[in-house]
Amino acid sequence: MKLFEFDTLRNFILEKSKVYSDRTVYKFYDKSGEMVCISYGKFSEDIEELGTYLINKGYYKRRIAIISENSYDWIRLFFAISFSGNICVPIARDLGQEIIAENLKNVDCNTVFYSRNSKRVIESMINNNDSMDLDLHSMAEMEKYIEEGRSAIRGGDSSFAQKEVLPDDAAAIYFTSGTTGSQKGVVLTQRNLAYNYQSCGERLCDSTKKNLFMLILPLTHALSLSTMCEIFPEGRTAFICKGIKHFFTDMTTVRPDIIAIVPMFMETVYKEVMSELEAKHLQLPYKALCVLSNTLLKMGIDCRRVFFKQILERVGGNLEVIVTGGAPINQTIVDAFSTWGIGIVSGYGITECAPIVTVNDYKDIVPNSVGAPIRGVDVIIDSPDENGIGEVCVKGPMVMNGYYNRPDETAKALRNGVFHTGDLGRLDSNGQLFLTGRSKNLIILSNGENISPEYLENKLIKFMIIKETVVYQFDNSIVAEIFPNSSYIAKNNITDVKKSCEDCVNQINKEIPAYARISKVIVRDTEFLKNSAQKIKRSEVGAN
Amino acid sequence: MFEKIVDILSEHTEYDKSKMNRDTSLLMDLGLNSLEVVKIVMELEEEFEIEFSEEDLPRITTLGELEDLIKEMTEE
Repeated sequence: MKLFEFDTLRNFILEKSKVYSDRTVYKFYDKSGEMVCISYGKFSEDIEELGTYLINKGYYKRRIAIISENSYDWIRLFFAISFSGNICVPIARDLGQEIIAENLKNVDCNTVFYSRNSKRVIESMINNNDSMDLDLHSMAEMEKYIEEGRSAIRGGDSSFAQKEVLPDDAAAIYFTSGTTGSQKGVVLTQRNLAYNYQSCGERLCDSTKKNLFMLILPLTHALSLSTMCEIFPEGRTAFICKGIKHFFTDMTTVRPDIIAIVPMFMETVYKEVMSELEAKHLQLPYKALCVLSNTLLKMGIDCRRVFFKQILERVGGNLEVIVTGGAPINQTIVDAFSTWGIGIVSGYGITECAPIVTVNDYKDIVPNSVGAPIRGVDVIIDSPDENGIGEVCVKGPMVMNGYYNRPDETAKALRNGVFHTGDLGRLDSNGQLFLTGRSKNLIILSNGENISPEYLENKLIKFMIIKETVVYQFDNSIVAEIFPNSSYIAKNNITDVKKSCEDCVNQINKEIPAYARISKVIVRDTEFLKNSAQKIKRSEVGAN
Repeated sequence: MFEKIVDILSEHTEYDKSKMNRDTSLLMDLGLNSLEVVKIVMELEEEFEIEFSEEDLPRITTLGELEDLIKEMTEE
């Protein structure tokens, strides 16, 4: 018996589009500020036309990158690429030209579709890399590509319809942070993605019954596309927000009832609400209202959305469910949102698992847990200690085949078909997963981004004033602790060592993605403690 | 112009307003996260009747750089 109805992402998306052809799948504001609604039927036509264009360009089993902000064009291009026998390589433009060039090279990708807003970074990349020979396509000409595909189809071209796409064919390569600093290309197949989206669709859409989803997370994250596809099983609608700058305005005009967002959003809203209550001396009335509301709720009377209407208006007024993950979230904040009438469904995922591994059930949220494994996923705790805590490992048909061209890294992470996540956790008797930490050296902030400390340390150590440095996380910030080079200081008559170190950090902060920026500098007057191999003992740093 | 920028920023951070100067770092000194920066940007756009592009923002790390960019945009 088949695990899920569809074995390939292509069949899943195209067949469901036929079932719901008249319903709206995606909505967005166009350049003039008008709302555009795309039906499931139109969406699948666009994919077929664009896919036909790609096939007629002679592209087959080619890695094709998309470097663009979120847009409808991004989504239809992704599917056109992966449904036409090619492999999509989503790349974030804010990584900067150096990392983009490295990523393209590491996955042997030289065909790039880029948006107008990405033109500058593309030009910078070309100027800094003479040897790069790129096959570039501007997404500003998307309608032209689609028209070419449409004409070919009208002329009898059925190459897209007949294209054979198999479950184990690579569909996409997503990049993930490595502990050595360089990013790794995670190869995900048609089956990996199809199963994950169908399984998550069951857990989220079926249980929440929400109709209007809003996309805000960058599509270069595997979670993002997952949320865009989970609407397909039930034929729901998603609004595509162009970027974080439009987020607050779009929340109030679009008024979604469900969003997927990182914990930073909830923390920011919570902080604002609490600050405003304090400024207006309303803390006591607020607490009293919470007690009254919770008491009524226990009696089966739900007045939350009336009592806390003003707070809910900050997030559009209609929001009932927030799906979150990527970083731990404070239970106090979760409880506050629940008090206001918004359920927070937290989950756990990792790119290598396509990406969702566990999600809480909206109807039965377990506090402090990231939920139970979704159907089709097995979670195993490797080498549990006396408290049942060990490394979280994942098995099942949604786990990647490996990292592109990195057999050493693949062998480390994937052993006997079991993927070792590097996260620590335990399973309770009901199969709920509780995360307790990381065994790998990665920084995870509340914006959901993973940052390799070594990546930042390697940049810092190039400055002559810095003799040794360790980068770590403290209280949701990235800290650089520096042991300066005393002979360089003396030779150059440097009087303000901390300022000089901060100048070095500021310089690096301008070159790197915003999410990876160092926000605090500590200068120490003694060397870092080292082990017998003269390697810095990380565990001894930042402990205070 | 600098005073207006400081007024807007001080609504979003606990950093002492009187200590804000051109060298003050948005991240290291004011401790702002990306969502808070977005809110500030929207207020600055309304105050100065300008529109930041997404490419402008990652280049700004200090108050001085922010003031210079706003000056440049208002002169245009």
